[in-house]
Amino acid sequence: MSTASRPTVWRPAFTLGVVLMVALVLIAVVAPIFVTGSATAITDDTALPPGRGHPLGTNDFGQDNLARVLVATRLTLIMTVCAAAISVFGGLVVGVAIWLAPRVVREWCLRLLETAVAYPTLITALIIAAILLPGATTAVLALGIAGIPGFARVTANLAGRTARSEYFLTSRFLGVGSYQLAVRHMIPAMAEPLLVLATTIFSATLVEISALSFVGLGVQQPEYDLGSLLNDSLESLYTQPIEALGPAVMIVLASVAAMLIGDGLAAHADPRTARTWSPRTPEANATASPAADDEALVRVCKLAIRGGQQRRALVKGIDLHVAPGEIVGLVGESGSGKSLTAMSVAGLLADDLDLEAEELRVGDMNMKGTPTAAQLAQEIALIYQDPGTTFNPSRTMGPQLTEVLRTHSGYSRKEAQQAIIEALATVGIDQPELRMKQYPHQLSGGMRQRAMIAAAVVNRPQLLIADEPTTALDVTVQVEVLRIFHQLRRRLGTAVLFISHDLGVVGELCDRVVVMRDGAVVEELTAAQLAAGEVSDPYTAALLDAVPQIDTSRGLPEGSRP
Amino acid sequence: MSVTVKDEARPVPAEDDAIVRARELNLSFGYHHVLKDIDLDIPRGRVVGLVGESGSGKSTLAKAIVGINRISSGSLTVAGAELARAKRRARHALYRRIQYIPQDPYSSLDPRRTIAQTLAEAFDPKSANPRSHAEEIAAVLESVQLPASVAERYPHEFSGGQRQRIAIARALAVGAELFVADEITSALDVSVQAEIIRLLARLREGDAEHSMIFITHNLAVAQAVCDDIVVMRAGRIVEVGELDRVFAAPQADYTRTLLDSVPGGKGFKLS
Repeated sequence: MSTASRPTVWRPAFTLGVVLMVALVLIAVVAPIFVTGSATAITDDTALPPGRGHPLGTNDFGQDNLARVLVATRLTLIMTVCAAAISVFGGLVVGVAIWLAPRVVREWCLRLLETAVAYPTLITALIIAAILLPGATTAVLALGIAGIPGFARVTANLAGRTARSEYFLTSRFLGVGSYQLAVRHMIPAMAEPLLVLATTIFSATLVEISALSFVGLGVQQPEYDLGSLLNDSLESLYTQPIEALGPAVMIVLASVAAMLIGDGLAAHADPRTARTWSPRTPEANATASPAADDEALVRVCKLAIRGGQQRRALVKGIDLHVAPGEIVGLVGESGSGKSLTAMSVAGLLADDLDLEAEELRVGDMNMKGTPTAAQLAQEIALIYQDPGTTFNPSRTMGPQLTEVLRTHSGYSRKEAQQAIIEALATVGIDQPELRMKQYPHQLSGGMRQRAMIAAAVVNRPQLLIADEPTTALDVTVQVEVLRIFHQLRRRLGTAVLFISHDLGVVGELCDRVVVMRDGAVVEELTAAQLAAGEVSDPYTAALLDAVPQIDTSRGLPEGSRP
Repeated sequence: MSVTVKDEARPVPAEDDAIVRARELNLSFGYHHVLKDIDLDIPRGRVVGLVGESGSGKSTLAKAIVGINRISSGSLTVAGAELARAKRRARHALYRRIQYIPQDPYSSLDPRRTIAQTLAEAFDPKSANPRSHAEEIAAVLESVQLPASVAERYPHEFSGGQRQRIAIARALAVGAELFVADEITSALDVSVQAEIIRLLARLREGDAEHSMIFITHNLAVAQAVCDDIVVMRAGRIVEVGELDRVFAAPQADYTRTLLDSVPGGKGFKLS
């Protein structure tokens, strides 16, 4: 991610917010210098309607309403900035300190903070303001302090994320002190989201400070801010409604400006919101017509995939085929394009990637088009890497395992359940009826993966695509799962496209191995060639070489080694 | 390991041949009894593999040794000091004699700090000023086969393997006596894993001072790196010994099952 490719922050809404805010600040700086006279001088022109010389009319003392609004903006903005600063600074200190404190203190403080957050800010502020003498300073202090818990809670959440990260832990074990930990690692990591939150705090504080003045607990006569101007206009609201308009519009404008700036910053901080791409259009024809002499189940011809901002080639025109009942291993390191290739075969390539191919078919389905969901469910089954995330943790296994059968194969609930229970038994899961009623977390990782495979093949699909299905498993469990793949092919004749980075696993299971690197196929080998080490490509040789081999004879006495 | 940094503040190690000694060590998280009656001696100057499957407690034990996890009962002596009983100051001094290298190279470096800043913090946690340690930083980077010019760059500019080298460099910079490496090759591609294994072997040449606990679930990797092995299962130690001897003639059934599960190994059978 280079800074050059980062989208600009100056989008229309953000620009509007900044322009508004600059204008308001200018008014706050300039207005009191020029129009204080007409805003404070008591004249005989009392309660005039809007007209020449007085665009918003005058009040009961003959003071110009517009001038008063412009002058009041300064005090409101200053008070808001001060109160928001107290909330932000106080919240930051509390939030960070909580995560640097010992665990027991932290837990108590977090609960205390949550209780404090439950009280509305304005009510807390009203209580503080009522205890102290009403006035501008009181209003600022009250709102500033009342805003601390909310900001501290968010800061503590963000700080907690950093505190649990490995780099923070490592630094702590290097003997770095608490203050340095906070300044070096914690605060920089949350600067962006906190900046966004600060603008929200600003806008909320602005409204609340005006509310305090409006009810008479804020700024006192003869000083005035936007809130007390609203209060003044209340008495003559029916005879002179225009007097309320000025302060009301000003409060809204300032608040909206801060919100727009905050939104713009948030959008900029999260690059996902700026993603611009048009989804690829699938071919209209979903049926493939394979050549008469082509007996392959899967046929991929010159598959090319492009993606990213620069439309970089991720897969570069590869050929691949899988015969019915064959187990083909697709091997490569990260970035080799093996998963992208498999996902294209399954018709599941992400929408923002471009796909081109002379031929891409499974059976008679054209995977460049969009075969119906029922057809896909019948023909292709998928097994993912992590059995911990393939199931919905809040539902029992039963409905999740029977879903495909019920939706696409016209099974009733009972029939589907019976079929799955039988399938679970064939992959060696004991008490299958009980497992159906259990939640995913009650099964071990190996059991979940076996259940996934069992459910996937109930339909007798022609092709099983397995994306690193044993990578997340322990070795002893990995053997069991590999055995199930092996039996499946013998029993049902299911073809398997097996993606893996582990040449050892692939060598044991597959009939044929396709080695990929940087989006291209470098070599195709039979299992026998791989086992004998008969490789011709230097990359494959290097890859084989890199796999550490276990040698159980090293510890034997000299004479008895084979 | 070849890089040692002089540390005046370091106390003289007690006369003791074991860098880690655990006696009847138990550790529970709430009601979950994770480590059960662990008795273990890890001699100085050895690389000891800690192997076992998920849930075996190998990571929990390693984290207890570095002081991240508190033990519930029994005793655990590390570098001659009992961590659990040590006062705050003594514990902090002990921290720098043990270094933990985490698994994920993508989360072990602060993304907002340059490599030089990260390493400077290891040399001097107080000031962390990269300029006053420029030579040491270059030396420690060279020992993990990275050019000194990488110091000014940020973590996102490096691959997983390079980041893991930097994490190792940071542990070396501290001048610790004991390294605890937690699955440091598991998240890497095999070719990169091979590089890290070679690097560890090179760092170890002619070094009998430093000890390392190497946690892995991959027995072949353990054999490539370790002298001794500790096999764990469900919170207990099932077998301890010199690695090659254990692999040639495993005493525990579980060790044999593990060895037979390695694809490409002698005992591996699919049907």
